Amino acid sequence: MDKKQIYAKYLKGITFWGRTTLLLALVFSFAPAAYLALFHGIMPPVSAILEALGLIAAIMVTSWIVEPIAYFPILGTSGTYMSWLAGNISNVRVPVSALAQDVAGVQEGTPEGDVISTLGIGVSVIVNLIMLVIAVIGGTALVNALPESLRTAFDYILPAVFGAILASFAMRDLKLGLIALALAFIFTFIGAPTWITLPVCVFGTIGLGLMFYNIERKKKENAKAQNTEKKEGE
Amino acid sequence: MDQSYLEIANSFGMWVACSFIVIVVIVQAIIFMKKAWATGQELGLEKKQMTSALRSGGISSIGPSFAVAIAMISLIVSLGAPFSWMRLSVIGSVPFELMAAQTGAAAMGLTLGGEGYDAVAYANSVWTNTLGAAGWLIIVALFTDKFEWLRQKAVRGNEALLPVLSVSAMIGAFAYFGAPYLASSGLASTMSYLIGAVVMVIINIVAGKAKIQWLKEWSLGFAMVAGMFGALLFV
Repeated sequence: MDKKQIYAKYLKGITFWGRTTLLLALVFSFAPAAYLALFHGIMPPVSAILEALGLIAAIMVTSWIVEPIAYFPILGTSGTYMSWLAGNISNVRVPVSALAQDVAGVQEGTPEGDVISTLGIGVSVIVNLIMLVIAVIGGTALVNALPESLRTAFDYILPAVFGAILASFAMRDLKLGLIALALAFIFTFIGAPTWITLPVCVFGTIGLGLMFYNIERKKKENAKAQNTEKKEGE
Repeated sequence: MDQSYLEIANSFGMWVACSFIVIVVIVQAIIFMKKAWATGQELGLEKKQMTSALRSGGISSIGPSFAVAIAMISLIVSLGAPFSWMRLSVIGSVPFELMAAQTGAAAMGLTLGGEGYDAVAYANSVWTNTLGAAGWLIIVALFTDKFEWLRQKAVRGNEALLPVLSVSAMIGAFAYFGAPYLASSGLASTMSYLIGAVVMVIINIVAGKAKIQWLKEWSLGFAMVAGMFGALLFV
């Protein structure tokens, strides 16, 4: 089997299991609400649920559609199923996916990249669960026992993560890194909503990335053509 | 404030009800990792590369997961331990869950954990958080295979462009994630961002020149620690 066939077979299995687990999770996600209603008779009036659904849908509907599409070129098929089930996408899944592929020395967007990213994200799901179990068992007491400065420090972990990863990409492509950052900075500064800023940043950078790649390639082709011309001329 | 609903919110039965979905998450992670490992071998990846991915994934998710765990405490106060634990183990994130729970309370004319927030209001928050995330589950469950088709379409059959597409998307996403910390979050956040970036660049250069693989695996971990504690100097 060649790589394409191996990957197609992998994707087929992942799609089946991804879809199955997500639909199962969708059903189980109603278990707490059902438990309150069936075992304790606590059920909000349907009008209140519908009003809340209206409010939340108005806020979320663009993000339900835009975010999975915007993150797809990054997470790939398996990463998308895993990340949208496990949550914490920007702060855990995407950084882990980027780092794992970099460390393993595979190319993003290839079958190898997808496999490596899946391994990294899979571990992060398990680690996240273990940390939350420790915290929930230790409870408030454990967290309060941490020194104040340490708790404050954790407020600043995310900027360090994002700065570090953007920097490591900028080492590979400085021009694109800086332009993307400028684009994101402007849209954030003027306070554009997420459903505009995220697609503009992701798809805008994709557009620029493809454009720069094509320009570079043409330059190389031209240089080659000139070289051959020169040789023929000699 | 009537907090008797917290007895139910923290009851054993609630723990059981919240556990089902967490089990699905664990099972999915194991199935996917097994498939990825087997496919990696078929694709000719070295074991070393794959264990490297596992290690770096584990190391770098400890810090951010711990930050989530600390933030979870703020949810537990009003939503109880089991539901908070479940929501952050699957689907959500702290800001989304807080926003959704607050929306559920607002639909009943109340504020989350405030005056009059009782068992029924709590149940409405539970419903709202559940419905608010259901949209993502449905879209992703039904349409992910179409996204892959779109991705192939986007490069018009030229597979050499797929890596360019992915790298550009990642750069765009990380620029988007980081921009708020540069634009509007204060000096300490900005310093954490810059320190994280500088430490990452230095480690990458050293690890690359000296060919130290374990240092690359720890790079994000070190950058995080340097950034978060460095930021304390500017608080």
